[in-house]
Amino acid sequence: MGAAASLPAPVAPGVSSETLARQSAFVPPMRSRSKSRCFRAAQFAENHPARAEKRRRERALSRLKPLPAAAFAALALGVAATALSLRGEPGFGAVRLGAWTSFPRIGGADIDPYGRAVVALGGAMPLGEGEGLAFVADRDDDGRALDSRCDYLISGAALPARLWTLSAYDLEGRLRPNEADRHGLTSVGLLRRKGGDFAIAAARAARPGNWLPLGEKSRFLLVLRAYEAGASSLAGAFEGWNAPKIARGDCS
Amino acid sequence: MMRRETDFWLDRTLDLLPWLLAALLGGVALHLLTLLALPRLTPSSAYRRLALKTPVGQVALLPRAAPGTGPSFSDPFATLALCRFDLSLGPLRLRARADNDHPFSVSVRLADGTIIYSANDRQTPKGSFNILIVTQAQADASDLQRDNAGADENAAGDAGTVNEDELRLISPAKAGFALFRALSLRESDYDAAAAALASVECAVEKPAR
Repeated sequence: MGAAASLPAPVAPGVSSETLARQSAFVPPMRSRSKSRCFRAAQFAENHPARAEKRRRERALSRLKPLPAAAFAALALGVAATALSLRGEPGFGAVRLGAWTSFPRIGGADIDPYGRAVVALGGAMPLGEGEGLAFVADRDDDGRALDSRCDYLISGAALPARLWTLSAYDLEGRLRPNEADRHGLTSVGLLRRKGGDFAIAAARAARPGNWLPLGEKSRFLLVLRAYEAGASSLAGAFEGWNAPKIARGDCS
Repeated sequence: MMRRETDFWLDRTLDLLPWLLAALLGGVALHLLTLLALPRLTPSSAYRRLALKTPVGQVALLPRAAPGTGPSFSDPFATLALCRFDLSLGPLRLRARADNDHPFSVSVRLADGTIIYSANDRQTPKGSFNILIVTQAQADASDLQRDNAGADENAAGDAGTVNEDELRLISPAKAGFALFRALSLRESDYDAAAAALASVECAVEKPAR
């Protein structure tokens, strides 16, 4: 580096006095930094070809320095994106009716990859579109999370299906032990008012009439399965549906 | 001096920009890869947990959904039976007949959970199912054989059906399972629904030669 500067500086035409002053004082020039670096590198390569080659290799390797960090970032990003995307609902195409949500597309061959992954992770075997439709509710009509410490009144009119069942699960999809050792109701065994309207009481303690027993675990889900439902996976096909209302009563 | 410092950081950032882009692109690729591989690989999937435990071509009745047993999110009123298929061993023949007391449905699912076919007893003649699950190659082979054998006899051979009530289902993958579902109207009716599933037949057919 100092090779050129330590020699007595020849006064050449076109070299300003400022440059000369800088060189003699070992001050690296402010301008054309890269040019002078280039020049020095070229000179070094001329004098020590082997070392220059080694240096070049080292510099090329040092350019790859961010590789492990980038690979790690890619790994973390990909895994995090997958984990996050599978935490929510199973895929796209949700149909919402009041408090109820259905994913008709998970029952057919046009299921999207997110829906497929969520279903596989949960270990579920959802209804095929030729079998029926499942509606899930985790909140009441006012948007409050379902809690088995409360009583609920589920009321509605006849559904366009051959048969439907209503059952309560915990958030992992398991049935919970309860007082009556019953875990659901079917449309067949239901007491109805004139015109086919029904009202179901969901509570931990026994209720007269249609009673859906709830387990001890507080948070729960309701699943309504309409077998041979008169609707396809098109969202517009649900217009005639009158999903049951879920009203919260007293809480203990 | 300030100018040089900002230049330095600008240089650094520009140097790292390709790496940032590469990390982003790699992340997206990895996300898609894991997403697509996950349904086949996760040990929690219905295929791995339930179907892989049963031999190919045999009907297995699943435990009834009750607290602590049965697959997650299964209907306490549904009685399920499954039959695993592996089409590399040959096509699979399913036969089932609904009794009139229990609504009955059949679905065919691949190892990744995709439902390629589902129907209930009201959609099939007399509530009976006769399904042959084949790969595209097996379908082509049997078509060719049929064309060669009966070209002069039966010129009007419509594609897809060999005999009247058979449904030939071409599966895009070799592994999967068929699920049979009989519904009981009361929770105490489980045994009768299980009996309804006893008539289900499931067998590997020898590949046509």
